[in-house]
Amino acid sequence: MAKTPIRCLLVSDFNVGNLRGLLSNDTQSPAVAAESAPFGQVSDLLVDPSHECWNPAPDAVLAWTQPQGVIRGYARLLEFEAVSPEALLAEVDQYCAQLAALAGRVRSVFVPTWVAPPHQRGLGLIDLAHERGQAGALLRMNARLVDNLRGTKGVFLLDAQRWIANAGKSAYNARLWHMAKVPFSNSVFAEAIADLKAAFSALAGQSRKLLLLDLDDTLWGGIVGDLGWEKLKLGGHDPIGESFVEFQRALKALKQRGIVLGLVSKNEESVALNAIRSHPDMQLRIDDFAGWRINWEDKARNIAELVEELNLGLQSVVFIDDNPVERDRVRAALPEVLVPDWPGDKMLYAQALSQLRCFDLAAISQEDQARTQMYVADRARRDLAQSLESVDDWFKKLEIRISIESLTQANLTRAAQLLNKTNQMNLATRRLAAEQLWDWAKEPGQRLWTLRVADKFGDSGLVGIVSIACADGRAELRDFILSCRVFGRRVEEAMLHVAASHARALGMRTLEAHYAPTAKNKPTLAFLERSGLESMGEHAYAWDLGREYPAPQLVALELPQVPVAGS
Amino acid sequence: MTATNAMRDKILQHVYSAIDELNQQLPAGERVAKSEATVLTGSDGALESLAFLNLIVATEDRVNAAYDTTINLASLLMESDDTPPPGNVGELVDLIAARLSGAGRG
Repeated sequence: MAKTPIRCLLVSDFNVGNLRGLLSNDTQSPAVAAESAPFGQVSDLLVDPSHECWNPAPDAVLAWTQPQGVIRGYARLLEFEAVSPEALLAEVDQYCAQLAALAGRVRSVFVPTWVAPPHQRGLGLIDLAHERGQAGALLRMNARLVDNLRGTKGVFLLDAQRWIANAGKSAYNARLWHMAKVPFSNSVFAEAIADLKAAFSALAGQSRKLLLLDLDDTLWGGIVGDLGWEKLKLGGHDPIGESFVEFQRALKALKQRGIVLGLVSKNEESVALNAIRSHPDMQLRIDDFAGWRINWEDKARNIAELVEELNLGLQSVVFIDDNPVERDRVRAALPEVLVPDWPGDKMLYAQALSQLRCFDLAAISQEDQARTQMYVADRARRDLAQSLESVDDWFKKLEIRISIESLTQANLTRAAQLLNKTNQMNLATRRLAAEQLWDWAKEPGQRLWTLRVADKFGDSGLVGIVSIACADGRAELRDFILSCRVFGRRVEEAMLHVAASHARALGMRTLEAHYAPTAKNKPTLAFLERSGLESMGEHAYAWDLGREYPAPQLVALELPQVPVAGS
Repeated sequence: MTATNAMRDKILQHVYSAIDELNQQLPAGERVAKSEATVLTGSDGALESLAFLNLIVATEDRVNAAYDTTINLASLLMESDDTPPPGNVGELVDLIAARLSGAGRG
């Protein structure tokens, strides 16, 4: 069934008719139904919640203005009138306050930065220095816009200067401006739409998070099996070698912000890993990769296996390979995997990587930044498990610690991310924006806890959510969500334990779980079947709260305070 | 110089290419057919004004680039009382051909 399109209202001081049409017709996911508010009335519309354009409330607003359209002082500056910097910034503050107020009524507000037409030279040589210079004023206004709105919940700034630069000389269209009040060409709108779609995907938790890379002529120049690592093109005083170093540095930066890296290459594993360990100009080392499949098997099969090993879905994967035949093979066999076209010119690799929008995130959490380390620790855990005889031995050695805490503003972003991204261990698969989740948890009779898991190999961070809704003596498990990274470490039992303990303390008689099947959440059903809860019919389970649900053994639990009965 | 059939065919392809661009921003039920008979102005089925302007500007961009010239089609239609807007795609092609061959008005 097709998803309901996102309803996006375009609020602008210029004619957004072309943008509205292009955005509504764009076939990239997610679908957007764009509507335009009356143009040229931006401030009036922002401060008037009763205006008909707000009914029904849009899901998102794109508030795209020209600087002279909303900041009168800047319009006067264009006519070389004297305007003090303080007066100019005071107007920016006022406009930001209107946007912030709008964010309280609409889930997401997107604000492109202000741009001036490239042909506008202002005062030429002294444009950046003179008090009446336009470029200098615009820089200060944009800096103020960013400073004011950074951290405002629900407001997202978009860099419009990049759209103009990418569109080139045809970015502005004087004829459409004078005849129809459309300042920008369709190529600018296309850039804006691509960024907006990436933003919607990021907010919905649909960003890609695993980047799989080929090796020969992708991560380094040449065939390592033929040349040996000593003769690979990588670094040195060589433009191609330097290009690969630049590409690896860009990959490392992606890893630092939370994108997991992996290798899928047709090579002898020992030869390839030795090159990674030994080459002095390698920017990426073994511990930068969460896993690899380096062999002579089919790459599509290798990708599927590696993705399963890392407990991720194929829809979170990007595969980069210099070889178009391999790219075609993976596209055909694994259509959910994003396989971007890749430039033949190696000097363009870093540029091609930075143009991928699929890794965009709405926020970067500590868990994101430490993700690869978590996978490296997982590898160590698996090695340990293979070296031990019993599960209990394994648990003793792991020294698992689970810390359970209520929902707070500090953990809300990560909790919402988990709620919206987790598929496998997810009882109800409900999706809510952070603010909606916060509001839900604050309703009487409803409780939500988050779980952090750590062990001797590292901190997995916030990986679980459990919530209950209590009424008429029954506590219903509303969310039961756990990152696949910690499946089978008795965190599931700890979640039931905390939910049941609180439900008992609140005077409930039963704890119920209603499993809502999806294509991906069978692990949840499997856990419920072995959880000790009594089956109450198809997909319904219950625990009699006359007795405690036992806490898991060999796991240290740090529990929140249990409420006094009846509170 | 008068427009040859080959030149007219090339102009028609530029107009069709501009129609492709225009259709990317029109709702499904309002898309423009690539036919010389497609009505642009003046009667039932005429394009809405912004769509017509978009088509003219997109066509002008393509023709100017292809022939390394400046036909100023949009300005001509806005300024000249003697040049009525083309009623259909075929008339638009004829207008451009006339401008390119130096027989255009305005």
